[in-house]
Amino acid sequence: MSEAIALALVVENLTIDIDGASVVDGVSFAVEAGEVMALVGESGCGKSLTAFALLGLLPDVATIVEGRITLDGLDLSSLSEREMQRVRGNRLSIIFQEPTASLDPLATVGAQIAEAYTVHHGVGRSLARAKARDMLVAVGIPDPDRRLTQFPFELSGGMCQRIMIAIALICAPRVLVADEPTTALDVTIQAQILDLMKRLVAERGTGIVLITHDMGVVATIADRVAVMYAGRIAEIAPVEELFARPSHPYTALLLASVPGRDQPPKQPLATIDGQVPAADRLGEGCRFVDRCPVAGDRCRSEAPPLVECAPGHRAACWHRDRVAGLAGIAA
Amino acid sequence: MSARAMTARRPVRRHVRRVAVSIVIVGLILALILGLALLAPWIAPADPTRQVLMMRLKPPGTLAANGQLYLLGTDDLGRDLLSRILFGAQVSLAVATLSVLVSTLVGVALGMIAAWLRGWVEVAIMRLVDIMLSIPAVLLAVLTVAVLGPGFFKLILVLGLTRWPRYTRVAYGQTLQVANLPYIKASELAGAGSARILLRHVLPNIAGPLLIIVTAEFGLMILFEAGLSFLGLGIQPPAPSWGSIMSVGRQYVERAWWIVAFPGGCLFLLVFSVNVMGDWLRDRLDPRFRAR
Repeated sequence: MSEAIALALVVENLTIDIDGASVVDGVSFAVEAGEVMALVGESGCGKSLTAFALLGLLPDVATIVEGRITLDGLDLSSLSEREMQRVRGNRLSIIFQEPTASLDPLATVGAQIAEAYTVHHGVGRSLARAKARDMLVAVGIPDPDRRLTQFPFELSGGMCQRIMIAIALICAPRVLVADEPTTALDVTIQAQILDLMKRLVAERGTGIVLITHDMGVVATIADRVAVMYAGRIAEIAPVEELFARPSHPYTALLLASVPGRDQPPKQPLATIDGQVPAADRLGEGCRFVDRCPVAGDRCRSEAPPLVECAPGHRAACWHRDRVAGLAGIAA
Repeated sequence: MSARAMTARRPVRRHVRRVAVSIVIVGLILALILGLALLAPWIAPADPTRQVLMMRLKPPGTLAANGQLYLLGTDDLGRDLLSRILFGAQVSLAVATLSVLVSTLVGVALGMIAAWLRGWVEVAIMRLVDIMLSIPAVLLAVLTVAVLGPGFFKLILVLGLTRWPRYTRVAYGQTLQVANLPYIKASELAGAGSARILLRHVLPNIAGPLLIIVTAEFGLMILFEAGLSFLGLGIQPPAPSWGSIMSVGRQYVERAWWIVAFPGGCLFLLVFSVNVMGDWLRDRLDPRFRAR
């Protein structure tokens, strides 16, 4: 392997239609090995759909009309269902937001961790079990030998999520998709799980696609952030750059709506007026136009392209110069 | 110290639930019948097919000249009724067990496949189930025997292949439910194949409701076997089966009540016990009855 930055996952111009409406429209991003790439956005912005498209498990109503997904040089869209099955859980894994529901209640933890390894490597039980034990140690579960024989109901939510991470990482995947991995956990456990994920990917060179709506989680763990709005990427930037200099009005307002420690008590929190446009009422122009305080005429007629405004920082807005003022409003 | 106790393995099992006296009794009856049936070759006082024409239709408790005691009397050909009932129990239990096994295998497999694959497979299987369930079970069994002819293995085949639709319905409904749960999606996403998911993750999780059907069907199968043998469509003479013993005894009810009464009583006890056991299992396993 060369020392040059290795791209683990490349998504190019991904477009997903449901009933003729582009719910994901021309989404492109890349994930480097060992990097945490966050996809942020509100419900229905297409972030989860994007994640499912990566794994080739879109619901029947959704179809990929355009775009290419490349995992480590392998074009996933060209694979058959059978070939895709060999990729899933092996070179590309996913963890969900409900760890307790994601484990089979009637199978031991050990059997479930070992399963992914057995399925993909066709090894015997004892070897898979030893491997499962190693993973338990790696995800920081004390007393692994006893835990292997336990059932999910005997474990806490945080521990179940550690198990899910162990299952996802046992085959040393190139990319891990984490769909709101900490939403169901309480805050202290959240921090532990995020730390764990960050450490494991750094050690193993696994890239993470983190799906979340929580800016706190993004700030804790992400290296780069793509902010999605109504199926398009509004802005994509390294995490410090995004928090310091948001260049899309949606990002700016989103950051402003996060309550801070210096927020005066009993003041209403900042909000973004209006709602996400329905998928069947998407116009020609910028999809954020109806809620945007800096929108001009051009925004209604023409969709803004993603333009580089600083190294590695791109935003899709015609009026980037007016965005700086927005952050001022909130502060 | 208490922390140690808290982390003891599988703490749930430590709560030993109280079991009703009736269940204990019924369990003992079942164990007794099963034990007697299995031990029949060693404990039966006589060969169940050996005819002693001198000793025809003797009442229970008759002592023969050669010193043999006919505890439950003899039938129309002078065969020892107790021995015939003991060996008959083997037949009843074997037929019921094997036919339940066949119908469970066929029914559960089809139900899970229908729910997993959906589409035209689902339509084909579930409409076939509807058709099968709309034909009276006895009629279907009698018709199939008429085509295949009687006999031990044919009987099992007939019962097994006419009774699977009930299992299919339950397995289908339960699989539909379980298939949408996150942990099934999760193992799919971990790269597990359909067969593996169905056998390792779906089947254990739908086993409870299936077990209830199994016990209910087990009782029914014992009755079916007796009924078909009674009609001459099941086990063929001279092999003993409770149904065929009673069928013969029917002609002599006025003179020799015991030929019908003892196998009938055994049949009643066995089916009653199985049903009570099944009800109890349902109460334990069916969440709708668990709220108390």
